[in-house]
Amino acid sequence: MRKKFIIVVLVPLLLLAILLYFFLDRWTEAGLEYAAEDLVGGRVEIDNLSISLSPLGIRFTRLQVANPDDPWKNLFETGPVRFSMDAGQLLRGKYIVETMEIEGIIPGTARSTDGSLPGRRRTTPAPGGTPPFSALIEQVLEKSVEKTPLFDPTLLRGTINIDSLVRAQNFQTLALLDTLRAGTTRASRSWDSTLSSFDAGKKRLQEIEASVKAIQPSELKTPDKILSAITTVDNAKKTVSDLTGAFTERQAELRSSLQNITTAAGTIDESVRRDYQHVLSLARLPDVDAMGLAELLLGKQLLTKAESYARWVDMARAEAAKYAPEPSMETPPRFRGQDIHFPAERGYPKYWIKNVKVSGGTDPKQNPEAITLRGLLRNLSSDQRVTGEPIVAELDGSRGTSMTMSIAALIDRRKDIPLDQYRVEARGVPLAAFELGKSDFLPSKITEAMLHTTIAVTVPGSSFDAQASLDFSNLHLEFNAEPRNLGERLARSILSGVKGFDAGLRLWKKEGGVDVAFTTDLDEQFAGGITAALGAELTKLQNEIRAKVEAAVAAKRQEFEALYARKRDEVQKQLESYQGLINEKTALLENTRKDLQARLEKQKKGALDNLLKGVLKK
Amino acid sequence: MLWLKILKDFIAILREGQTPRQVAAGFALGSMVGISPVTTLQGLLIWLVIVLFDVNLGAAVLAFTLCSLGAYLLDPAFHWLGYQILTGIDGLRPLWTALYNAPVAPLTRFNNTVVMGSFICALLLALPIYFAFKRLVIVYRKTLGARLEKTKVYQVIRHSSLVQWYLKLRDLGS
Repeated sequence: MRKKFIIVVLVPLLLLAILLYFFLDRWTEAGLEYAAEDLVGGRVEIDNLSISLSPLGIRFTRLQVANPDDPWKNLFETGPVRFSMDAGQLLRGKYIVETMEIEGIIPGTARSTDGSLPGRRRTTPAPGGTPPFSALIEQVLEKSVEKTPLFDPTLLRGTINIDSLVRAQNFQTLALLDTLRAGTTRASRSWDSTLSSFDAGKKRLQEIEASVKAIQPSELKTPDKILSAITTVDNAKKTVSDLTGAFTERQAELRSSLQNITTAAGTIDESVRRDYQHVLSLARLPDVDAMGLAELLLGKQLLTKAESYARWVDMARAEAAKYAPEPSMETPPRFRGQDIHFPAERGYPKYWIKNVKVSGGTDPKQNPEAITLRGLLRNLSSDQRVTGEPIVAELDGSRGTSMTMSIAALIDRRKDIPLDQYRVEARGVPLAAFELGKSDFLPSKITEAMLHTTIAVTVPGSSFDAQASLDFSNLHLEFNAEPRNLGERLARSILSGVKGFDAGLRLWKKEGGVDVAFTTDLDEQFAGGITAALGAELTKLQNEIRAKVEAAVAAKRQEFEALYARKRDEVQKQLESYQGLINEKTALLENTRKDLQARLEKQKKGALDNLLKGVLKK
Repeated sequence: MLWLKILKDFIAILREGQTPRQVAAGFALGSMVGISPVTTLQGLLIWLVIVLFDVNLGAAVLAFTLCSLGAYLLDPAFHWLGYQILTGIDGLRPLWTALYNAPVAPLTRFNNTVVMGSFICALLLALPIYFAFKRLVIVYRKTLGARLEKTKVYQVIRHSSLVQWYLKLRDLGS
């Protein structure tokens, strides 16, 4: 054995071990605090951390996590926390925690020091390069500010300049009329060509008429001459029949062409209606049937809340993405070789905390409104495909005897498309201050109310669908200002008598952005009030807009309709005339043939009589 | 000048200092870590043995340097051998599976073909290298050294201006 080696290597190693023994706890504590601060964006303080070697584990007496949005408050603080690690797996470089116990957790406690971290605020990029959900909701929020409809008749009258609105529009109807006019002109050329082809037929009919009229049955004395005339008539009939067939075919074409233009002209009224609706939407006249009172009263507040919750969803998704398995950096070896993999009896991810048990709250003996919390977080891991388990979180809490809350979350990264599901249910939440309305519509606040709410969010891949229902009861409202228009007056009078109402919000991602829908049972009452008070003025304004839109297209419409009517009448007149001619000639031919046939019969009978007389004389 | 220094150190190791066993053991252990990739648990343990026990460190470092350079050329052979051992012998499969699932064994990277092949070679060559080198040291010290020093080649090299210049430079600071 080398004695020098013992002095040079082993003694320093021993000193390092002693140093670690005394300072490892502190260094680990500082390291964990720093890592957690990066995650949360606020100060994180761990008290009295100690590491035990057998069993290998960590415990600390208190954890405080400052709220980055309110640094003088904690998001939560805990009592004792302890967990042990699988030493065998640690030797394989895997951090496996069977159960972590967190006791005495209390949310929202006050801090004695500032918990902000200037310059170290966290960012939450959305996974997969898609914009964060909070940003999408922010866009909806910005749009909603622009959508307050006008209510007051005088305000309506003063604000809307119908003439300028109508003038500024490129009406679809005008374009349609232009198209129809061009189509009619084009078709009329074809009609003219078809009609002119009838002229040859007319001439032929006249020739037939002349030749038939030249036959005088009474002057035909012999059967041969009569039979010859009959043959002439039959030939003429055949010619007329051919002309009739050709006419019928072309007439069908012409009538079909006319019918097409008639059908197209029938859409003019619908087009005018669409143009009217467009101008109506620009005028922002309220639609009495769908007032959107929920959006007006609660939209901004709900969207603001949704935006803040979406930040947490973004954070959860960003953190879950962080724990996706990443390929480790490889240093090119002198010769790489090939790793042969054998059946793994039990695969472990890099990190896996199987169970986190959370319990806590305040002392009910000291405060009747004490908070109690109990929850479980399962399978927090760096690779869910290896564990085969999604992250599942469940937290139940209560405050006093009236308020209960439960939060459930599922973060599933086992398949190619990630899936997150969150559900929050709170009952008996007392509201001391809840803003209602908007700066330009009935600014007010709920000063006292009880709220039951359920929020469910499903986030498959980069899409999402969030639904929230809010049930307000025992409501007391305070209006911030006197009503400024009829809409506000109506809303105020309705709300003053209301002791509770339901409201709903659905927010979902669709192609090209986010859609939002609000519902409330107040809408029906409000619509009734609006109809009664505002209906007459609204109808008048709507009629005025309709008349202006109709006037704007009237000249062109009249021009088209006149052209079309003229052309149609011409065609019909020509068709009728030709049809009449054919009918007339056909009748003439029929009559002539009948006369000839009669003459022939008579001739036959005369000849027979003469023959009989001759026989009798003999 | 690296080859000159290696040659000088090699001759110094052969000529003086520790016993032939210590020098041979140092060379054999150094050759083991030199043949195998360095970043393995067994490599670390062999280095620990080298520094803990009284084997010739110079011989170990020299063997490590020489074998590391030579191992590049033999890597394809190591890969082939390791592959055959890890996959070609059915009887060993349960052993590899058990080691693969054991806590510490994966740190040896035994399931890598080059690591396995080179380590097996290093183990097989360790004893022959030890005995051969021990014999070489003994022979050198008894007869070969004196004979070598009398050869013209040695004299030429010893008295070459390049070597003289190197020795002056080397001794400048002492």
